[in-house]
Amino acid sequence: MDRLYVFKDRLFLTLTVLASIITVSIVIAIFVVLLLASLDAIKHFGVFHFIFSQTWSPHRHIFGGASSIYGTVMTTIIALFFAVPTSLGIAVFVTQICPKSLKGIFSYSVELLATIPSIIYGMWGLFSLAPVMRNYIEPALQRLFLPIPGLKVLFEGTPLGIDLLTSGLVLSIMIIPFIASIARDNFELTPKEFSESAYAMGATKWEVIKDVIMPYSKVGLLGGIIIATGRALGETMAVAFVLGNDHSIHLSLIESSTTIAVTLANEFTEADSALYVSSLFYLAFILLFLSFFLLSVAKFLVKKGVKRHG
Amino acid sequence: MDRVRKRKLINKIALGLSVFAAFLGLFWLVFIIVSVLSKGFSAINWSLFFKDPAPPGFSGGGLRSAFVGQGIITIVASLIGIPIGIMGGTFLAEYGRNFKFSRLVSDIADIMVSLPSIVVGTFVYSIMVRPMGHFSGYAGAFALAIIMIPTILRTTEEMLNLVPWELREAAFALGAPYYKVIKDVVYRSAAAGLFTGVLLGVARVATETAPLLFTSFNNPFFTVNPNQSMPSLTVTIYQYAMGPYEEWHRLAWAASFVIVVTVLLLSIAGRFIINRRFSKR
Amino acid sequence: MNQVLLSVKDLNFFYGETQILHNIDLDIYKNRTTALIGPSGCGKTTFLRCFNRMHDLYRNNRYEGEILYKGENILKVKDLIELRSKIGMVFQRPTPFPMSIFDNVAYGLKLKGVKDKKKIRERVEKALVGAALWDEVKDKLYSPALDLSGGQQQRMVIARALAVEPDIILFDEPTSALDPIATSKIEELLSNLKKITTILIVTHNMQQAARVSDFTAFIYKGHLIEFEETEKLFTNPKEELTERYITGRFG
Repeated sequence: MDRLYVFKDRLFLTLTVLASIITVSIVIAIFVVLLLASLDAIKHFGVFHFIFSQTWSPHRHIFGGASSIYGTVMTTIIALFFAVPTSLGIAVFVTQICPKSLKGIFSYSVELLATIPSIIYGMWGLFSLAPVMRNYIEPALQRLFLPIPGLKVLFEGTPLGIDLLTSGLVLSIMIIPFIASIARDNFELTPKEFSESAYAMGATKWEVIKDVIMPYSKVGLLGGIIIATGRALGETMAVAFVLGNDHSIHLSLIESSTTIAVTLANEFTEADSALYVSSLFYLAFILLFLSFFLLSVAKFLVKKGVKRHG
Repeated sequence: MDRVRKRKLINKIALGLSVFAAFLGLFWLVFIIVSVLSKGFSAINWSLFFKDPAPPGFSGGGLRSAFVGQGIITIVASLIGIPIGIMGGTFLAEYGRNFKFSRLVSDIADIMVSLPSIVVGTFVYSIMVRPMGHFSGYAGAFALAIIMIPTILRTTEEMLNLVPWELREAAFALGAPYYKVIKDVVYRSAAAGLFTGVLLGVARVATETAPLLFTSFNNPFFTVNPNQSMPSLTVTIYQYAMGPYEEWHRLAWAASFVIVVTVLLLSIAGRFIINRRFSKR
Repeated sequence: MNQVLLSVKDLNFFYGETQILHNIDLDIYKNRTTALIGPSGCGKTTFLRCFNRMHDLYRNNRYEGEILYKGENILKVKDLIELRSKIGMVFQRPTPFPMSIFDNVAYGLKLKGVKDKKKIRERVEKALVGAALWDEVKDKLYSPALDLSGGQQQRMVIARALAVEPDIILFDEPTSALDPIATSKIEELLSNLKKITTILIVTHNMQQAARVSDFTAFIYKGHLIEFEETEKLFTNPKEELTERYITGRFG
């Protein structure tokens, strides 16, 4: 009987080990497979040339990733521009201002934003947000900024609502809950004595937040922001609806564009030549590499933040 | 203006801005939910669930095939993803808790949770769709399983870590082998947490679109055979929303309505389970 | 007469490079209660956990010496599952498993492969009676063990240990998480238990040791300072260190 126990225990142990090995192998396999699949394109276009070449022409069999990479980076920057201040504001509100009784329900509402699937963000962006952007927000921004010489280039063109700005805005709403919840957790980790001793010296609430709580939480906050960046970089559906899949680089924020993920979503099943497919895999590999790198850095920072508090 | 008054003013402005930010967050939530509910509700009818899509441009069809396809893909994905996720998490929290390897797996799984899902789609395309020569529900399910595994693995690990060590020791002291300790004591103690983790993991992939685009692809016809390309609700929404027909948009909204309502209910249910868990003892 | 059940010979225990227990020699007598006392961190719990090889759950531990039990050295036993089914243990905090009271008490029997439902029922009842809990729970055997009070949970855990009819039960400060009333119930129970089994108990409470035990061992910094009949040890200690400890001048 006890032998049976030993056997079953070994069996269970083996299964659990296998499961964790499978998990790691998947990640390694993704890297290897995508790299192999993009070898063709890497040989053809090299690394720097592919990253900086703007031409994406299936007819002429010339592929450069610059337009997709530009769109990816720009939408992410716009998203962060909106999301970081909003999320910090939410975290400040939840931890410092909100009455205790409303705190739970409020945090939960913000977290609900994170549970809404990206396809819904896309639908909403296309049919609800884009018309508002086209008819009201973007014309208003143009009236405001076109007269200013330096900012003129950012707001040129016909407002269509299908553009970098709308995409960035949708992305920002998607990442707000992540940054806000990490910020909230980090704010709450700040020891009470720290903020109380600042209050005792006559600091205002805002000064306590700015001079004690924020500096104390900065490592964890940075980690959270980078995780959100990683998510924004690779988001597909929410952006695919409202960006327009246009392979040319415009400085203006109200022009359509594309991201790596959107290019993949739109062209992968239509790619008709080996080189075309390989170039798409190349883009996928770049996206994988970027996100993995960013998320590893974030992981490291978050761990460091926790350790310091712990 | 004297210094103190200036400081007080800055304080008021800053706090006012954060209240504004908070309500901006709420505003988006309400805006999105109200849009989907109002536009989707009018499009809901019985034929949505019981009829297959009408040919492009014709009205009166439903999305039965997409509901069924989505269900099959999600179930197959769960059959692969849940056991691997729970087993892997069990290794990290139990047998392997002292090994460096476990920390590595845990960190990698954490990173995997946030990797772009479309990249997983391209991966599965090249290891399954290309060799097999056709899109298939199995490929879609496999892609979703890959996304599900790290989420469930990490929640399992965390939930098992919450079970006090003394409880395991008490079972060991009675002469239980480790697998029985895990099965009878640890899993049972963490049951509510594990269930919530699985629920969230499944809910997350059940609404994924990007990894399905070039794995299960789409199919205008009803099918229950996962070895063929399979329609899914999410891919159908994408196709219909980007399409030119008013009728398609209506169906896309109806499908979005169903998804949002389901997700909200699941998330509230999950919340409820967790709350009950922590209020007890 | 006192009959030796377990005999500890020159026991040393190491945690990594650090030696926790030094050259301990001690006999545990059958159907007697032996108490282990000493200041916290002295190694008394570490010592207790050698008897069912609990340290084997963790890495970097090493035993030297012998604990003889029915002619076998516990420290060299390969089959820990078998060993632990004969040596029960009760912990500081109650450890009810997330199942019904009945299933909790029957758990050890099921592990041993007892299938006979009637026999399981009898043994569960006997164990609950032995742990002075039967009257309180006989009408709700199938309700969750987590619903019991802390003191009841601890007595149920004792019943769980009793059900497999172990030769000895190890108690690791079993009342430290309980209120005074629950504590006195457990102490009363302990005095009765030695009729059916042998008890080795770690306690930080000297009055408790004096009340429940027949023999007391005083451990200090990993050394066994004195081992005597409880009455003698508390009234007329041989060692000065023991005297200083029991009179409360340190620790």
